Formats: sequence, C-alpha cells, structure tokens
Amino acid sequence: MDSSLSSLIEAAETGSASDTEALFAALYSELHRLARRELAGRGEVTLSVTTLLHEAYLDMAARDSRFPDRARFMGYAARVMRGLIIDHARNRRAQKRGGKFEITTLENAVEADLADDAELSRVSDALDKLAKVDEELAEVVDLKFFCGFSFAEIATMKKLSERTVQRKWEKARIYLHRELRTDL
Amino acid sequence: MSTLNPEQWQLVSPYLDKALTLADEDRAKWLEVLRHEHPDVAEHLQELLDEHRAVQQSGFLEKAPFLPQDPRGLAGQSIGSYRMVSPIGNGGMGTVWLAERSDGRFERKAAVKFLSAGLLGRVGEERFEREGAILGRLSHPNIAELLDAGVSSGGQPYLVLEYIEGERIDVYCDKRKLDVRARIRLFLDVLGAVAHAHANLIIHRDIKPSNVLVSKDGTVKLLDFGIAKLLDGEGQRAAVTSLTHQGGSPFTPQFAAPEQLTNGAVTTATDVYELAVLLYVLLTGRHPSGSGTHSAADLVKSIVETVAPRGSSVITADMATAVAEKFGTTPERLRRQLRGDLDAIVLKGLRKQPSQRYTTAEAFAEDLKRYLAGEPVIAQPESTWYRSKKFLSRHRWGVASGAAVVLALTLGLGAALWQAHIARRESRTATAMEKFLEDIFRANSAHQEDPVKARHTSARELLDIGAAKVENELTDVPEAKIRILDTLGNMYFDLGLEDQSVRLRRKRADLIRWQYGNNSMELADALADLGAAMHASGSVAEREGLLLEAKRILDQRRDFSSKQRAALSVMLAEHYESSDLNQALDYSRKAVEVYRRYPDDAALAESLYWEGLLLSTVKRGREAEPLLKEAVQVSARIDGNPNANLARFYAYLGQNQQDLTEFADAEQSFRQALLAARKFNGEDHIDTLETELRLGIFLVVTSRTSEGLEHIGRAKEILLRTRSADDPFYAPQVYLEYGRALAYKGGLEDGLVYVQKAVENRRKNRPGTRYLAQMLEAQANILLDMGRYAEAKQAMDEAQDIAEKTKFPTPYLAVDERARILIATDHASEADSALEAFHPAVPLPGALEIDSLRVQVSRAENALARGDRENAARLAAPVIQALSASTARDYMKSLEARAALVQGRAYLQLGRSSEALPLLERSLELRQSTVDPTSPMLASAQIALAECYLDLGNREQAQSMVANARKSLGTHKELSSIYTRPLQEVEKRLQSASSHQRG
Repeated sequence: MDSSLSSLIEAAETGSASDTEALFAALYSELHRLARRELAGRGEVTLSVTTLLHEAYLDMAARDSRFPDRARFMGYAARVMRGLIIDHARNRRAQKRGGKFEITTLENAVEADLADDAELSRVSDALDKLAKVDEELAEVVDLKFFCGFSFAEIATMKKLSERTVQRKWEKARIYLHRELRTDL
Repeated sequence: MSTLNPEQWQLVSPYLDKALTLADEDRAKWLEVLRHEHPDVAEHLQELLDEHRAVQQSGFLEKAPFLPQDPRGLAGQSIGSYRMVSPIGNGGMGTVWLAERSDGRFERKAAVKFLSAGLLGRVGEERFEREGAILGRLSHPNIAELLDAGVSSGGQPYLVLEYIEGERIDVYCDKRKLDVRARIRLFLDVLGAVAHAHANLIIHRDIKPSNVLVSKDGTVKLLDFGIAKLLDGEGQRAAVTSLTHQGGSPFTPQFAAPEQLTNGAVTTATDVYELAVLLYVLLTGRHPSGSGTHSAADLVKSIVETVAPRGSSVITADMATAVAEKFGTTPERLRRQLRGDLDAIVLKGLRKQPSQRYTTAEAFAEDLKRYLAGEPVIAQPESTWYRSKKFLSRHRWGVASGAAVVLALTLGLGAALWQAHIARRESRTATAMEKFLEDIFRANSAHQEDPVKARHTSARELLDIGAAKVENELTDVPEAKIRILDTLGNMYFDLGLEDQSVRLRRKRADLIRWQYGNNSMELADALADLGAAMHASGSVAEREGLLLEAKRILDQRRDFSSKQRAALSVMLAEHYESSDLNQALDYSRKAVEVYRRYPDDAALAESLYWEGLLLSTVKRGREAEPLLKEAVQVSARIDGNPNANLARFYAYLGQNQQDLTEFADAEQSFRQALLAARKFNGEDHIDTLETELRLGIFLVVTSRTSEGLEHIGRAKEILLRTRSADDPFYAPQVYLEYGRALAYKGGLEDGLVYVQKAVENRRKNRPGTRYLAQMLEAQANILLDMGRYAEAKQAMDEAQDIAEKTKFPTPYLAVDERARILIATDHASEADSALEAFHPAVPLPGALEIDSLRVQVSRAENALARGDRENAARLAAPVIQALSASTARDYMKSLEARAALVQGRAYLQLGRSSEALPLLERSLELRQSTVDPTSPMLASAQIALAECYLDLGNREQAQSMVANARKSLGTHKELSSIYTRPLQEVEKRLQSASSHQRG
C-alpha cells in the first residue's frame, strides 16, 4: 500500500469516485488478507468479524504516521466487509468438500437456515439503494448485520445514543424489507 | 403500493422517527391527529408502520448470516489418532463423544468435543490450533487435560480432552452429606486450579457445577478451561443477545457474571464471580438468584441488578429434610455456620462490580483458609462513608493477579508505543521492551514446571519483580518507563500497598520532570497523582508542596478551566479541610465552577458535595442546601439511582436540612439515603447500617420514638450480622444510640445495659479520648434518672477529666442535658455558668433556634427547682409560644412537653391552677405519643396533672392519674427521687384530703 490509510480516507471524503475506489481497494485487500489469516470456523462468525476489524484497524494504523479516525474507518471497513462476506458465502457454496475426513456434508445441514449468497446479494443491493437515500441507516446495517457490532458499540462509534441507533436500525429494516418484498 | 421514492422517504422520515419513539397507545392517538393535519404523510407512514410490524414478527435480519453445523453419525470414524466410540452428551457448545486411541498406543480414553461452528472455508486452523496448544500447556492435577485441538479438513473444529469419570461437585457433596468445612476444602481445590490457570493468562469464563467433576477418590477436575474463549470470547455474548430476540437459543446464563451479560470486559474477576456462585450453591443448595423457574429475561435482570441475599438467610426452617439429606445437620446449625464471615466471603465474590470482588482466585482462597483457621477475614464491605478516599479513584484494572500484571504491562507498553509513535519495527526499542516483558513472563511461568506443588507467582511477587526491574532498565525509552511506573504504581495502590505506590509515583514524577520539563502538564498530573496516593502516608507539608507545585504549573499555563484544574482544586479543598476552612471553601468553589462546564462528569457531583459539606461545617447551611441537593441530582442522573455515592450525598443533605430545622425535607433525605444504600449494597453493608442509624436517630429526635428505635434496632442487627458486637468502630455508636433511645422511651434499665456496652467498648479501644467521654455522659444521664447519683457523678467526673486533658469539649450532649447532670452531681455552679454562657450560633434566617429554646427550658427547670416560680413561668412561656407558632411543632414534642410541664407546675405553685390545666394536659398528651407508659417522664406529667385536678376539686380524676403514675414508676427497680418524691407528695395530699373530708 503506497498511501497511508488516513490520507486515503481523507482523499475519499473530499475527492472523487476514483478516490473512494482506491480506499475500498486498499481496505478490501487488507481485510481479505486478514480474513484468510484470522477467520476461524467458530461460533457465530459475525462476531469474529468485529475482532477482525479491530485487528485490521490496529494493523493499518500502525503503518500510519497519524491516527485515522476509528469511527470513520469502521464505517468504510464495514461496507467492505459486507462484500467480503457475500463473496465468501458464494465461495463456500461453490467449494468442493474433499480431504481425509468428513464429519458432515453440506447436504446434511439444514438448507433453509443457511443464508443464501443470492439473498445476501439482494440485501446488499437494497442497502446500496438505502445508502443513496440515507447513508447512515445503511452504515448501521453494515455494522450490525454484517459485522455484528452491538448497538452499544455502534453508538459509541457514531457518537449517538443507543436508542437512536436502535431507531435507525428499525428504520433501515423497514426500508429494506419493503425493497426486498417489491423485488420479488 | 409502490416503493417510496427518495423525496417521499425524506419527507416521511422525521415522522417515522417520532412514531418509533412513541409507545403503542400514544402512537395511535398521535397518528389520528396526523391524519387530520397531513393525510398524505399519514398514509405513507401507516404503510411503513405496517411494514415495521411485519419486520418484527418475521425477525428480518435478526440472525447473522452464518449458522452452526452439527456432526452426526460418527461412530467408528477417526479424527487424528482417536476413534469415536459413542456419544456422551450434548453440551451447550456441541456434541461430545467418547473416544479411544486408534493407534493402540495407550489405553487412554478421551472425550472429543465437536464445537458448534459455522464454516467459512478452510481458514483459521492455525489460530485454533495455536490457542489450543496454549490451553494444552495447562498442566495441573485439578484441571482436565486438553490432549489435542484441531480443525478437520471439513472445517469442523474439535477438542480432545482427558476423559473424566466423576460426579458433579454439588451432587458429590450432597451424596456424601459433606459438612460445610469439608465442602470448603473441596472448593479450595477448585480455587487452586483456577488460580493456576489465571497465572497462565487463561480465564475459564464458564465455571458451573457441571464443569467441576469429582472422581471417586475425591480428586476435583475442572473441565472446559478457556474453551469459551477458544470458540470466540464473544460467542457467549451472541448467545445471550439472541435470548432477547425471538427464537433465542437455549443457552441459560445461570452462572454468568453480570458483566458477561452486559457485554462488559471479561476478566479473572469474572471467574471469581462464577466461583462464588458455585460456592453459594455448595453451601446453601440454592442459586443466588433464587429458586424456581425464571424466564431468561428475568434471570438476566436478576443477575445484573439484584443483590444476592446472604447465604445464611436462605436456609429456612422448612428446608429441614433437604438440609438433613445434603448436609447431615439442621437448618439452624447450618445457618449459624454460614452467618457472619462465610456469608461475607461469598457475598464479596458476588459483587456486581468486578473491582469489588476478590481480585484473584488466590485472594478468595486465602480468605477461606482464614475462615477455616478461625482467623478474621478481610471480606468486609467497604464503606464509601468517610471522606478520606474521595478523589483517589482506584483504577478499574478489575483484577490484580499475576496474569493481570503481565497483561496490564503488555497493554501499557503497547499504549506507550502508540503514544510515542514508535514503529514496531524500531529494533532497539522493541528489544528493550520485549526483553522486559519476557523476563516478567518468565517469572510468571517459573513455577509451571512443578505442577505437583502447584505454586504460582502471586501478583505481589510479580509487582515486586517488575518494580525492581524498572528502576534500572528501560532508560532508553523513558516514555515506556513512565508508563510502566504508572501501571505498577496503580496496581500497588489497588492492592492497598500505598507506600510502594507512592514510591513508584514519585519516581515517575521525577522522570516526567526530567523528560517533559518543569512546566509541563504531564508533570502537573504526575504531582497530583503522587499527592493523591500520599493520603495515608507522607507528611502533610510534603503533600501540600506537591499540590501547590501542580497548581503553580497550571497557573503558569493559564489553565483555569480544565478538568485537571478542577480535580486539583478538590484535592486542595480536601487538604485544607482540617486546617484552613476558608481556603478549602475557596478551592471547592473553584472546582465546582469548572466542573459545571462538564455536566456529564460524575466528578461534578462530588465537588458539589464538598462545597456543600464545607459550607455546612462553617454554619452556612442555607448556602449549602442547594449545592447538596444538586449533588444528589447530578449523581443520580449520571451514575443512576442507586449508585455508590448516593446514600452518602443524601445523608449529608438530610443532616444539613435537619440543622436548618427543615424536618420534613430532612426526613425525606434520610429515607432516600437508606433506600439508596439498601438498593445498591443490599441489607448487609456498612452503608446500610449507617443510613439506618442516621434515620433512626433523626426519628427519635423528632418525636417518632418507636419508629426510630426500629431503625436503630435494624442497624444493630446489621452490625451483628456483618461485624460483631465487639467491633471497635461501629458497635459503640450503634449501642449508644440504641441505649439512649430505649432509655428515653422509658426502658431505663435496658437502655443502660446498651450504653454500658458502648462505654466498655470505647474504654477498651479508645481509652482517654473524647469518644469515651461521649459515652460516659450518656451513661451519667441514665444513671441520674435511676437515682444512682454516685455512679452518675463518677461517670461525669471521668468525662470532665478527659475533656480537660484532651482540651476538647465534648459536644455530644446538648448543653441543657449536660447542665442537668452537672446540677444533679453537685456541679451546680458549673451548670449555671454553662447555661448562662451559652450563645447560640448566628441564627439562620427562619430556622427555629432549638438550642436556645432548650437552654431556656433548662433555666426554667432550674428556677423552679430553686423555688423561683415567677421566673420559671416567665422563662418557659416564650418557648411554648415559639413552638406553637412553628411549623416544626410536631417534630419537637419532647421539648414542648418539657416546657409545658415546667410552666404548668410553675402556675400550680403560683396558685393559677386553671391556667395550668391545659398546659399539663398538653404535656401528658405529648408524652403519651412519644414514650412508653412505663416512662418516668410520663409519670411526672401524670402526677403534676393529678395535683392540678386536686386543686380544681376533681378528686376522682386525680386518683386515677395517680394510680397510673404509681403503676408506671413501679416498673422500675431504681428511680431517682426527681420522680419518686412528687409521687409521694401527691399521694400524701390524696390521703389527707380524704381524711380531711372524713374528718
């Protein structure tokens, strides 16, 4: 990475679409690398994502001479994380099961419970639409649903009250639910 | 129904915000109004709200995108070198299989746990295995060994554990009817295991009876160490939050610590909590949150909010069969064993705040060992009462185990690196710091080689090692060194080792002075920190010097309004409180001014309290009042009601209001103080004792004797439950007040017993001090009433002696009470001069000058005793007038009764019987509502009234009055002639009147 994280963020905030792209590309490669290293098959994986994001921040900030605003970082990173998760869901479905030992095969799992990567993509599209109308609502969904941050954590990050965050979450859900319904 | 376009959404959005904040019924009403005013908006809004309901019902987006998997049909299959035999059970974390080694090498049986985990491709194996290896290094005779950990090629994580055959510890204890001591000894093994793990930086996080097995030979084995973290430390949190959503998982947080349920930081203190719950269950057979089924939400609330009842209190008589079966004893005996120290130990582990629990499993074990050895335990609840430790807020490290020392140092170093902007790669720095840490680590794990002895480095040892090292090392990296000194200084402080803490903070201050200069903010902070730590140690002069230098720095930087300035001002106020009240007041005012700019900082409440307290000390109660009130409000707003300080704030507010004779308000405040203390600390805590006592005293003084006595009685019970009858600090106060109240009500003999206890206690623990003198005066008072003049005089003389020697007036009894004793014990001239010399404090506007009124009544009583009836009447009259006109009349019944009695009697002697009648009736009425029928004071009123009736020719009524009086006085074995002589006189009158009639 040539430019530091903070300068990328600054550029993205004040600059053009290509600057935003540069930021996302940097974040994506960084998070992807960390995901490969860190993400384990354990528990509710949405929560390990927060750990991942914290580590990513520390890692990237370490190479920086200034300290980028964590809250802003999280906002962008959460957005990128969304993409990563959907990509992984897609990969997983496509992945062949092989190797020495198989405890179970995917067919045994309850299909209905697994989040479809297609469904996630639709949610993602709806979120992009929502972002155009009310950016903060989309950010809350990225942070909460895809990354698994708690209301309290989001509230601290965005300097809002927890109740306000909850309200935004509700509003976002209303919007998305409508969008997905009419999609069908 | 089309989707809303962006413009429409923007339009409706604020209305949606509003709608979502309203409760259902309000929302319906509000919508109605909206329909009239903006029908199109209302229509869109209704759609959205319908959507909202659908979303909630369907749980849209509630579940995270990935889900657990679950292995089945594994029998005969192998994983690693183990072959599955049969399933053993289904834990909360996944299925467990019995397995045996498939390479035929050892005949060792193992348990293989497959962990519920979502899959995300074949990543993370390294990490899982790495952490598993750390757990595997835990080698301790009481910890079930982790043999292997890995992730299969299919991405399924598994753990191979030593297979333990044994019973759950609670079942084991119950089956063998183990007694309390045996159970504790078994529990100590558990603590040893946990302490070992903590020393290795591993927190269990899931200690519960099913994880603690005991084998046939009595060996305790702990299972599942640190597995919760392995899964993902926050995995438990996810499970809990899903409780509150629809279709939540079956995870029950029965044994969870409050901070686990509120997403707080999990530390070794979390394990301590869970251990305490386990101990509670072992000692009582009950869970601290009560028995019976709870809904998950209720249970969570109970754990997070409700203070657990004392173990002994849940053993009730109707549990006789259960207690006999499990413990082989009776409920009464079991209760007695638990009461006191053992209760306190368990409760200390169950505190809601991690920092208030035992900091380590080791400390927990130590206290239990003390209990077994019959030595005093340290599990005494801390009182927030005394002003000594105000701004010395202990840093919330949460724990001070060896592990935490290392952890804190690591964090501290890490933070130092960030702050100094030193890149990780700069080798010289990195080496220095890594080496420092490494050495500490090594010291920590030095004893791991010896699992049989199971020694582990204690926090104290590590701190000492760290402190010794830091003196000579890290000179290259002063910022890091400063950080370490800070960390170590704080940890010593947490352990109560103030001398060491001071030493390190001093070094830190010196280093900062060198590094940052004489005028730096950092130095000011460091000096203030050092001053704060020197509260108990160090000279007053030195402390003052430090604080003033810190002040000088702030002055020079023209910093008059930062939080540091405010905090420093409060420290200075506290410092000058005992020597220069004006300066103290000045500083406290400045502090408040600054903190007002930070209305959300809890320090604002404390500073307001200080200013109020100081003002009230210099008798400016009116000015103190609004400040103390505000302190309460601010504190409640920021830290919630109840919180650790609220009881204290309310109590001092009440005191101030009492001084201003605003009795109704004072009562409110005292009651609030009690409520806050009870809610925050539970029944068995010093703060609750204090507030019960204060409320009780207040009620007695304001004529609600019975109720007051009840509260003081409760304080006494708390004393006996949490401390002992010989406690040197609280026992004398409680016994004194209890005795005084009893005596006042009329139970002279009983009251005397308690006051004497108080005297003996003080004599033993504080001989020759004014504290003893206080008790002696009270004792003299009661002895007087009982007619034991010689003893009263003796007590009084001793008190006077002390007063002269210590040059301290004993302000305890009011002037008039003391005068009474002085007169009766032949110090009449002293009494007179004391009364004459009495100058009331500058009267507060509007306040009733109670002290002056009391003195006045005393003078009237003296005059009457000398036969000077006109003066007696003249002196008493204005008192009665003042009281009748006062709104506080109902609170001053005792005083009014006295005044009415003396005036009435004066009138009787002046032959003005008809004027005397209403006064004497009033006096009797007041006494009847405040003291018992056996009270000699009541009898006095009856006798005087009888005399009055005789004067007015009403013989029958006089006779019945006298009969009552005789009965009252007859209940006392000994009584002063002050009471008995008037009875004899009126009886003589009755007899002669009848003989006169007959004659």
